[in-house]
Amino acid sequence: MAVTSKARSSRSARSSSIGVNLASMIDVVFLLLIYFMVATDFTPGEQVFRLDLPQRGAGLYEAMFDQAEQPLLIRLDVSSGEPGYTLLLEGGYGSPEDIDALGRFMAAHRIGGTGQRDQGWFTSDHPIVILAEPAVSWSRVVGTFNAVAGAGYDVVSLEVN
Amino acid sequence: MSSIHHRGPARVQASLTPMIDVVFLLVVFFVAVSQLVDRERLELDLPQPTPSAAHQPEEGGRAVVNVLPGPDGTSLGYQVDGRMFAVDSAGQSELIDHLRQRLQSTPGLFINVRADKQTGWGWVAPVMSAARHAATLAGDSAARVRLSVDSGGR
Repeated sequence: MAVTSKARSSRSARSSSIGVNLASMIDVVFLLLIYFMVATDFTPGEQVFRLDLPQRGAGLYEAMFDQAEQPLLIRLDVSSGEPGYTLLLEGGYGSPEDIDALGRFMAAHRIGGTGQRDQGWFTSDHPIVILAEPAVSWSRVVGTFNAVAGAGYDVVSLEVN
Repeated sequence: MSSIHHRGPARVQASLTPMIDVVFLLVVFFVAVSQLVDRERLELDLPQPTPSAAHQPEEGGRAVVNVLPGPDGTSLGYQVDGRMFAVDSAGQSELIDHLRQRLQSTPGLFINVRADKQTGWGWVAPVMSAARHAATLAGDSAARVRLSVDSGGR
């Protein structure tokens, strides 16, 4: 009787053992690995500046320049001296020594900007046109655009000088 | 005595493991294909302004114009949707026509401009001009242009 009970319990233990199928698991793990490798974007992320280009000779473009406030023209020219370019703000606003200085100037003279209250000359929707020489590198054009946009101005346009 | 055994009704079982295998293979396939489609972004050394005031691009249709860099800040041409456009006036006309078709087929299309940071502005400006002309021909009031910059891995 005791022998019969022992044999039954041994048979019961064998039938209830749970086996892990390694081959299938490796299949799935490798598939997951491949999936995440493919899905991961290793290229550096890109961001954008929004720039609306209204039609020439149509209402919007004309409206931009026909505003009571004349657009602020920023000339960007190539220079042989340091830092390799010159900036000029037309209208007697001076010549910032570099793009960082331009950004500080623009931020300080925006109404509600970083400057003192009586130094605010331009609203954030004041039209600003960057007139760059064709030989100026794209990096500097974008840097100038970035400085003006970063100072809080919304209506910035690019033109060839 | 009959020798035929009655086994009862056949049991139908779904094997999950092969199904998961196949489903994952399909997922990987579609992800890989979508990555290939995204090859409209050529490898360019984009400007990286710091601190950057740029933002993440909005969702929506886009046409990516790549300005291919040439020697000494020049450009070898423009690439859009896998097509090359020369920097001469004929290429400019073809680029305008191509962008016009894209604008007409996709309302609200953004035109992303990607150029190497060493490329001269004089070689990028024609793309802006083409975008503006194409928008005019497509009946849009303004071309929605976006300047792509390197976010520095963010």
